Amino acid sequence: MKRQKVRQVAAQLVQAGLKTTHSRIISLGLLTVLSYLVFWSGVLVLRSLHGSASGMLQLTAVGLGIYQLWNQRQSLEKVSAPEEDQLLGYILVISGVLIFPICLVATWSQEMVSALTLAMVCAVILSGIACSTWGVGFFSTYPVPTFLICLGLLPKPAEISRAIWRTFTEPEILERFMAWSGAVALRTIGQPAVADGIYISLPQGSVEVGWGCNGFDMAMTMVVASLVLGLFLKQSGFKTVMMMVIGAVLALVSNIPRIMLVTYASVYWGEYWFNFWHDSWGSQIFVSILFTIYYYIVMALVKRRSSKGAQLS
Amino acid sequence: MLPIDSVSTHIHLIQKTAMVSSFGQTGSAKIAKAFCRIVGVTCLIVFAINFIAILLPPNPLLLEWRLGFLQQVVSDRSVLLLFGAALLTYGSSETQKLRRQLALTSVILGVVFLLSCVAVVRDSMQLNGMAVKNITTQASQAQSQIEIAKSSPEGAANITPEQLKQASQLVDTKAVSLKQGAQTGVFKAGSAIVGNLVVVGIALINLGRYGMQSRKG
Repeated sequence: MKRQKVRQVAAQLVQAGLKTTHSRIISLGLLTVLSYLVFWSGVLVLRSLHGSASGMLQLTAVGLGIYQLWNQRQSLEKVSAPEEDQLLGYILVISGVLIFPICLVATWSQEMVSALTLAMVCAVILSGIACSTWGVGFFSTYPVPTFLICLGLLPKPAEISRAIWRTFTEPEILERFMAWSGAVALRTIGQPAVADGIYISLPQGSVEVGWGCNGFDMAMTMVVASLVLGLFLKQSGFKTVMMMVIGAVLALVSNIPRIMLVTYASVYWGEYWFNFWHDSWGSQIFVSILFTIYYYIVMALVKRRSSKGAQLS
Repeated sequence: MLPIDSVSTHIHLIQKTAMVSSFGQTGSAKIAKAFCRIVGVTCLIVFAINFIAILLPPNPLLLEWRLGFLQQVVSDRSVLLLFGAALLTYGSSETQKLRRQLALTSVILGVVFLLSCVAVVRDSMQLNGMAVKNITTQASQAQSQIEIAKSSPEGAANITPEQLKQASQLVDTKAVSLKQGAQTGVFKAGSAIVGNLVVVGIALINLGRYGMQSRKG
């Protein structure tokens, strides 16, 4: 019985997909994007199982974007695209579908290049589908779902944001700032620490502040998590931006005591304690403290504003 | 009461003035459109000459040529194309067939510009990989020369182990900084090209859409 039902639904979908020229082009684009998404969601799930936070955040972002559009389905059904937008959409979908296999073959051997180029082609095809179905006005009416779905398609956003940061800032600027802040903080508790570039020196030894210790990755994770949280809690745009700024600043500020502790452990307590605080256990302890503080600050912000709103009303 | 002759004379005068002023407006609009056509065509011809000059001799299989071509065409001359297309679209607003063709060409060119971003990203990343590979090869060659100097009796007599260690560390540090520099340079150039391609591509698409819309209007 179930098989028959599935067959019936599949047959109906195929018939609907092949009914008009518009539906044929949309089906072609959707099939191409789905073939990529099946592979991509598998990669994201695997990444999440290996303990990566970005994979889970990306899946949540895509889910949230689709959910927001699904909530607007009644108003979307009433919208139709003008003739010129339909034409533009068809050009985008067909050119994206044509270029997809070329990209796949040309970048097969390089994982990152392949994922990035295919994600861009998928974004073009999806834009074409939106243009031809709802018109260009869709992007200005629904900017948040558009952004969330594009964010979910992006492969390794941490690496891309890192490359952008490194390209447009002075070399090791954040590492040097963290080394200086760590040294200043150590001096306030009576340690004779001196910052020299990316090194924190104590009389008994020195520690290098590398890329992994500068707090950038955590700040980016907090920014994306704040965006998702802000949308999930249905906060206004201003409040969501505030939450993102608080998350990033908190991640960078809480990185200073971590650097202090790691420096102290490296110089005075030996290799075992340095590894403990530097590697996954120490990171998890710091992340849990950071998220707890962040939660109370953000919730206070959300409740204070909403109680003000209730008083006014 | 005014006599009937006087009223009819007034109406006639008003009609005459309105006709003269509307003729003047139409005339100046026509002149403006003619100017736009001339400047638009000139811009497009200049762009075409530049395009051909950069294109020749073509070597699309070479990565550096492709990136250089896109950088020169897009970064330096794409505004000329956009300006020319906009002026020509406005100037030919009375000829519907030409305007439709221009609008469609603008849309197609805009899509080509947007899709070129994919090629630029791929080429930039490949170029970065090649640069890093070259630097690694050169650094390993320098390290092997240091190892040879370390093991040879002449080297052992003239150079101290401390100097060899310092030289090895210097090679490593230099290789790391060169790799970072190459990565930054390629990424910066790539992002500038992609940014220009996206902006000009979207502008051309909007120009085409506007051209098609005003045709209907």
